[in-house]
Amino acid sequence: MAGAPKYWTLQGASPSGHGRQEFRIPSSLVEHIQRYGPQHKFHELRLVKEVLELPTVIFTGLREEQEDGLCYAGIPSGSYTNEGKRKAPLKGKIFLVFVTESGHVFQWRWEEADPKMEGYPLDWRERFESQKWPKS
Amino acid sequence: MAEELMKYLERAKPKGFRPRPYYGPEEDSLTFYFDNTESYGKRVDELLTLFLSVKSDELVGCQIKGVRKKLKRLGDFGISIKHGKVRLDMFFHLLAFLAEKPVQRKRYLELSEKTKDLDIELDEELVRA
Repeated sequence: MAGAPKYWTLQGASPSGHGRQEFRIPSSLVEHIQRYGPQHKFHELRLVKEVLELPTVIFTGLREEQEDGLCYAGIPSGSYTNEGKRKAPLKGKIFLVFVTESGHVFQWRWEEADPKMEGYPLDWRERFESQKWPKS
Repeated sequence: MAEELMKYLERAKPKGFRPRPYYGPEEDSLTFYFDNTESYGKRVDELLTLFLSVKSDELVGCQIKGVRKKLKRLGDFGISIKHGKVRLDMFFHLLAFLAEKPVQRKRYLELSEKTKDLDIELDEELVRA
């Protein structure tokens, strides 16, 4: 990644639900995942964009010292193997993207979905302070 | 300077797998995978998420949040951080000792076993912050 920028950017939905905004991923994080893996996590960067663009729900209030952090949840169009092979989305799972208040993406992963609430992660009522979008 | 990530992904490929922890200072969390297996996250509590194999549910990694505060506790226990390096198994062992619930303690001890002889390098200024 010679000459790589400090941040990579990608566009997604604003947490207000109105319009779009720019998100940033530190190139150090992308480089780490690219160099050390796991490999599926590098391929999943494509899913980060999908979920930031078309979330099913956005939460705020991740934890202490991340009170204004955001979690974008969604079901992307597929999943990836370590070899980069595209497969169907993981059954019973949902893809989450974690973002700081300033739009800095720092974590993305599949998690268990709420079986009673499509498009929501398991235990969402307990783990997040509030639902940012859509307004409930 | 910033560049569109998707354009970069068109030409970039992952280079392989080596177990190496990543510390993100802005979000103050440590992510560590010790296996390349395709995985999903399972949240244990506000400060610990485990990565489990999609196929077998075996533990393959973790994300620890609130790292700065935890490192301060290491200092309280007389464990020094030399040259910005922290022994991960000691770190997890301390978290097991401090854990409030048996399930948390069990998971931290499991992580301690998985991270023997591994260090994480941190900026010493961050550790002191």
